[in-house]
Amino acid sequence: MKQRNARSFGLVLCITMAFALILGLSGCGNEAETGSSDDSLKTVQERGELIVGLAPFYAPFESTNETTKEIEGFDVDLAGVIAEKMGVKAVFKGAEWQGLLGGLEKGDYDVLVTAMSKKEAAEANVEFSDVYYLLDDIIIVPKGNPKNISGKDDLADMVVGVQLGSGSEQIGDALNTEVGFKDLRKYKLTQDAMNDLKAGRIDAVLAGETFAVEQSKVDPSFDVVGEPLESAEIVAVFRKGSTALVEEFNRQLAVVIQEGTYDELVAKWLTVTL
Amino acid sequence: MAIDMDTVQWRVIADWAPELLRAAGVTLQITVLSFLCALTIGIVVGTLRSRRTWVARLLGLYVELFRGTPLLVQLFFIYYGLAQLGLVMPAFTAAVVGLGLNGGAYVSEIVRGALSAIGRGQYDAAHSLGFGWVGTITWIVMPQALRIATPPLVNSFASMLKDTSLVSLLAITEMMNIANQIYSRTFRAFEIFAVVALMYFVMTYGFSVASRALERRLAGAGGLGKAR
Repeated sequence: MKQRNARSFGLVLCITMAFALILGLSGCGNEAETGSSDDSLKTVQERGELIVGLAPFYAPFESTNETTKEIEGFDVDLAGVIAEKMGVKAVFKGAEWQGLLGGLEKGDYDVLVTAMSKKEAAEANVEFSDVYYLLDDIIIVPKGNPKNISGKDDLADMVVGVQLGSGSEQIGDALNTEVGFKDLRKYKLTQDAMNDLKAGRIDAVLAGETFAVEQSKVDPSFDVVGEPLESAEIVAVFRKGSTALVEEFNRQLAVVIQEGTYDELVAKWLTVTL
Repeated sequence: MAIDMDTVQWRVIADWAPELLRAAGVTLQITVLSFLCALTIGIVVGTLRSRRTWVARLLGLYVELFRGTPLLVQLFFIYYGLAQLGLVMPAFTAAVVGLGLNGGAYVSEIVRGALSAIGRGQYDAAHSLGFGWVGTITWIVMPQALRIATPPLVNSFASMLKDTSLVSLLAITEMMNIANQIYSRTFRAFEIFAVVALMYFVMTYGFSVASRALERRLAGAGGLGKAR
């Protein structure tokens, strides 16, 4: 009995301490916010570097080159020329997709240029650049299309894979409600879903079109079927309140488009050849 | 350091409560099945390894291999790696196989250790009563050994429960996977991971309380009287 008392006393003590800790933390909160003046652009200019966050698992937008081991792709080149126009150097930091927005908010990056759509970042407390690309989401099936899927309606009672936290996941959720999948499986990376597609564990994958095309070049065991499901508005993503930096970014983006560099980059990286 | 508790909104958790609870069920299911696998493997391997034979040496290789490599690597190998060779199993199966084999390696060491704690006299007595080796182990030694092994086995169970968070990467909708889904949808990292941590804690703590009651009971059942 004595033992039990001692044990429950320990438990009570633990819980009390946990509460004290939480209260203590909130107590020291509410310090003054670090001014409302926007020094986002100034910080970048003084540093001479624009720190760009991206998830380098999404060729041809961003991926690690097999031979040079450098991060390369459309986003890398685009952010590079825009930074150059801003008079600074772009520095790229690779991270997990699911951790990018948290890292941005925390101050690890100035901007995310990583084929991120407005919808993907919508719930986060962020600001967007102008739309710099429209990316179609499509249905990917194994070569030969064994389940005869020719559009979204055929996905009824199928097992569908998407990348967790992607626009494709949102489309998948909506389609699941609409047509009723057998299962919607959510992977860390679209590549994992493609692997499962190849192994026959799932019937279809929803992903961005350019990515699908790039994958089918590496591994020709996939086919793209049906009409594009939805167009995603791809934007650069900034911390809330970095209005000056967003405006400068948009200004230089417009210049890059006007001068024709943008079209060159699209031709270099994103031209779809099935 | 400015910590602002005003940004915390528990409403997010309420919105996703049904999904979280369903995922908790999946976590428990995987844990229990994997632990049963691990226990079976562990008892067999641990017993066989308690004697010096070539089988013991071979099984030693299994134990070292699974203790010496990360569980996440094992899971990816079993799920994605073996699929490439044509050995395709559903995610749930792969998770149970991976966790079971990994846990089995640890449990076998617990069992081996517990067996070695049983005095020579028990074997001799069993032998003089006409028990063979298998009979001695099954009816005389193992029941005593398992009693000694109960606390470390509970420990293994708790570890396994927490390790199931890794199978979220096989796209199984258990607690960590659903937490990531909610996080990527709402960006409420504090609320979500605090609640998921609490859910894991409640499960492991609940189990350890139950197991202490079991220990007390076993301690009364004659013999060693070691557990308090």
